[in-house]
Parts: sequence; structure tokens; C-alpha cells
Amino acid sequence: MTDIEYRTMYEKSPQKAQTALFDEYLNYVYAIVYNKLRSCGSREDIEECVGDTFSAVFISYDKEGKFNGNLKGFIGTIASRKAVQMFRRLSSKSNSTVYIEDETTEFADSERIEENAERSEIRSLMLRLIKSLGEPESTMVIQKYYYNMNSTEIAQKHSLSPAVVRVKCSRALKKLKELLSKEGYDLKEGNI
Amino acid sequence: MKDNKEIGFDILENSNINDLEGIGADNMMIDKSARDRMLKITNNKYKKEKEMLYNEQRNENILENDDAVTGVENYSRKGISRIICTALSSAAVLAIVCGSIYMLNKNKGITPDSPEPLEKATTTIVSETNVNTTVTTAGTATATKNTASTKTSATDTNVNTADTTTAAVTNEAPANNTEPAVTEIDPKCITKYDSIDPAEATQEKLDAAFQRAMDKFMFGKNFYGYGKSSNPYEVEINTVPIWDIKADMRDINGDAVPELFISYDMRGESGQRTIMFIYDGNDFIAPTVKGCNIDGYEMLLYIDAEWMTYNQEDKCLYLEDKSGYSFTRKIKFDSDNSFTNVAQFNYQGYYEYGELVKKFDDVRGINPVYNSGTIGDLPGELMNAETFYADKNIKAEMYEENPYDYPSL
Repeated sequence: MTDIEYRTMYEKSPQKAQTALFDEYLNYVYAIVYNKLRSCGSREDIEECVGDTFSAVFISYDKEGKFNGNLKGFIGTIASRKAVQMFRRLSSKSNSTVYIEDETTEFADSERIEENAERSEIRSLMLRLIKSLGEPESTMVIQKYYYNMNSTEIAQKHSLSPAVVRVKCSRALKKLKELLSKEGYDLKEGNI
Repeated sequence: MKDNKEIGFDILENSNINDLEGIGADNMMIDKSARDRMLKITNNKYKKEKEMLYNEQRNENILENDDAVTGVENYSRKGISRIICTALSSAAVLAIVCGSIYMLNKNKGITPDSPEPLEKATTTIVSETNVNTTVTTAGTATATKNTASTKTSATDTNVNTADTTTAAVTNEAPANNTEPAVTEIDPKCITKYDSIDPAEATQEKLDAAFQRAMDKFMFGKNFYGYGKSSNPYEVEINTVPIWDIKADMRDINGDAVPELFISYDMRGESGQRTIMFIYDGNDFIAPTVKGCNIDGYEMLLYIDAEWMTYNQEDKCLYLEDKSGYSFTRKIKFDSDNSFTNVAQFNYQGYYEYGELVKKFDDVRGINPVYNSGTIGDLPGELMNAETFYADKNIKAEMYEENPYDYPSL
């Protein structure tokens, strides 16, 4: 959906336009929020944060009568900010100190910079190796081990049987372990 | 001894938005109940924030008004000046009306001699009379006669002149623009199924095939659904509870053999979907057409979508999905039972005959498949089935009995 499409729908029915925008970008927003809150938030926290994001997007349009810049980029930025706010709120409650790279300027000591750089490098490596598994295995691995989807859900998405998904995931994981091992890393069993 | 450092999938957390594209939105699966829950949360929050915004604005206005009236003496307009103003205005209006009537009477019977521009009349008649040259030439003769006998009617003059021009245009312009465009179509874009002799497709056979197809939906081990399937394998029905099943047989490609359309609500999908089947002489089968999925990977896809229309003018099926990014397809379905992947628009861009011709970022506002900026504005007739067949299939019943234990039964 583009800015113009939204405006046209909004003029006819604001509620319909908002629901259409919600449906269009729900997966995108959820992915961004999940990416930030996966470790510290519950499903309810993530859903609340998604609600915060869309509400802020709708209010912003009501105020300005337009979206600032590219619609997808705009929504992504708001989702990211809302997730960081929620992350801070949750972290302060649990008193844990987990870091988010986007917001680390206030802790700009050299140790944290090195740590972030290393983390970023490992993340890139991990993504590269997952992608090297090829399709649909790379997508399945992400779905199963990062998004914690079960085999049946993945099977629906790929039009395969759950049994086939299980076999493919297991083989892909084995291959990923080998690839990581060659690069000097082991895959944490408890984290799979 | 193990010296390797241990890492887990949590390393992917906090990726930047660009990396997220690789691991993100398209891999998510949000079921209908979660979607509804989040929409409700959004609406509640939006309502509250909107009220707060309204209150803030109202407070600001009150503050501004307070500033404006402080220390200012009240002004009250005198009643007599209002009466004088009203009287003067009325007199002015009366004078204008009377003056206009007088001037009209003075010029009575004389109409300005200003013939209409020739171009305008020419355009009008060309569209109506470019059928054959003989008739138009005869029209020219009549037109000349009319011009001589009647001078007063500006309209007649226009028509005559236009007729003459029409003759010239019709003679000069053979239908150059109706020349058929010759386009080479990559054979991989075409999937041809055998044509069926209508005499062989008896009502009895069709009814039996219909029943078998519906049984697959209701009780069978196989289910065809999902237009976005990565391959033509059939999905086991135990993964697919479906509700509100409707089915209709209708012949859309004019080969006198009906196609079967089944509409259904599926768990995990936001709205009703429709899938099309063709009759192969024995059964209704789900045809597949080569195309690209939402990510641009080439694969075989079913004729299955949230919105499906068939446009008789170009003999094309238009399919659109709107869960996440838009995914639109245009497939020519001809009377010889062939399917041609004409155009496609997904997150990667706009494709014609399987070739990417425009990237997604270059397409702004208008969906190039059906040339409209309005979502779901597909040309042709909607192909949704309308005849109710069943409330739910057997797996939907199982799901309703024990939703928390499903699908890990």
C-alpha cells in the first residue's frame, strides 16, 4: 500500500483504511518488534507493542494528513522506536542489562563498541551461513528456530507435510552446525 | 577438547531493518485470532490517544482565546447601521436585475454570429460514422445542399462541415492501429491442458467429479489450497481446517465444459480464498501455472487467491493476495484450456511473461497489472463461489473441539 492508496481509502472510510494498512504491514511490524523483544518480552508484550506502533502511525497521519517519506520506512522506524521503548520498560522492570545497538550511544565506551562490533560480525556470519543452506531450508530454519513456529505451521506456509518439514529442518540444522564449526563456532544446544 | 565459541539463534536479535528483510516479515505466521487481538489493542490505543490529542487541542484553543480577550473592551454593533447596509445591498441587487432585463430586451432576436470551432464537431462525428466510405460520401453531398439552403442554424453548419471532414478522415486512415501486435511468448509461461469434448462431459460425469473434489475438501487426505505453494505437492488435509465452504461450477472460457470454483475460509488466512479447478475428462484437477512467488522465486502456482476475477474482454483471470505485501497475477485462460502467465506484481516488482520489467520501488501508486491505485480493483467478474456447500470440514470440527491441542495432535 502506498501513501496515495491509503489517502484515497481514508477519504472514503478512515476505519477501513486503517484496517487495510494494519493487514498490509502487520507481519512487517511484528517482525521488527519480535526482533527486539524476543528475549525479554512475552507474547502479550509484543502484541501490545504492535498495537502501540499502529496507533502511533494512525495518529501521525491524522495530525499531518500524510506520511513522512516512504510509508514502509516510516512504519519501520516507528515500530523500531516503540520496540526500544518497550524494551527499556521491560528491562527496567526485570533490572536486567541487555543492550540494543541502536540505542547504545549513551554507553559509548570502547568495551561496548568492541562487543557490538563482534556481535554484529557473528550475526552477519550466521545469516550468511543460513542463506547458504538454500531455499526452502534457510527459511524453514529461521521459522523453526528463530520464530519458534512448529512444523505444522511451517508446513502450511510451504505446502509440504509436517513430516517433510521436520526432516528438512533436521538436515539443515546439521549442515548449519558443520558450517559454523568450520568458522570456529558451535551452535548452542539449549538455544535451538 | 572444544575450543569453539558457542552461539545460538538469539544472535539474530536486534538485527537492523535491512537484515530483517532476510529473516523477517515473510517468514512470520500470525493466525487470525492473534491478528484480531492486535487489531483490537490498536483500536483501543488509537481511541485513547485520539481523545488525548483532542483534549490537548481544546486546551490550546482555550489558552489562545484567554489571551485574546484579556483587557479588551466588548464591541457591540449598532442596530441602525445593520438596517442601512441591508437596504443598500437590496437596492444594488434590484438595480443589477433590472439592468440585465433591459439589456436583454434591447438585443432581442439578434444572435451572435460565432460558429462553433470545426475541430470540435469533427471529433464528434468521426467517432460515430467511420463505418464505411460510401455512406460518408453520400453524407457529404447532402451536407453541401444543407449549407446552401439554411444559413441560420449554427448546429447544422457544424454537422455538415464535420461530415465532409469525416469522409476525408475515413478515406485516409486505414486501421493502422488495429494491426495485431506480434509478441513472442516464452513457452515456459504457457501451460496447456487437454481440451475436453463437451459431449464427453455429461452432467452425470461432472456431478460425480464435483462430488469427488468436494470430498477431498471435506474428508480426504489431500488438499490443494494456497496459491503461494512452493511446489505442486498436495498438502495433507490434517494441516488444514477450513470453514464456510462454497462451490460453483461455471464455464468461463467458453469451451462448454464448466470449471469448478471453491471458496473457503482457512485457519491462518485473513479472509476468504477461492481456488479454481478444471475438468480433465474424469476429475476436477487444480491447474498450475509457472510464475514467481512473493519473493521472486520461480515456481508452479495454483489458481488460488483471496480475490479472483475473470475478464471476458481479455480472457484473463486476475488474482490478488493482500496478506502482507500485495501479490497480483494476470493469467490468460483461453478456450483451448491453456494458461498463460501474462503479468505479475509482487514485492520484487512487475513481471511480464515471466520477465521482471519494473522493480517494486519504481512502481508508485498504481498496480501495473490492472492499472489502478485502488486495492482489489480487479477487472471482470468476481469468481468467488456463492453456493453454500458446508459449514466446515472434518478437521475444522476437530480443531473446534480441541483448539489448544491443535495442530500438535
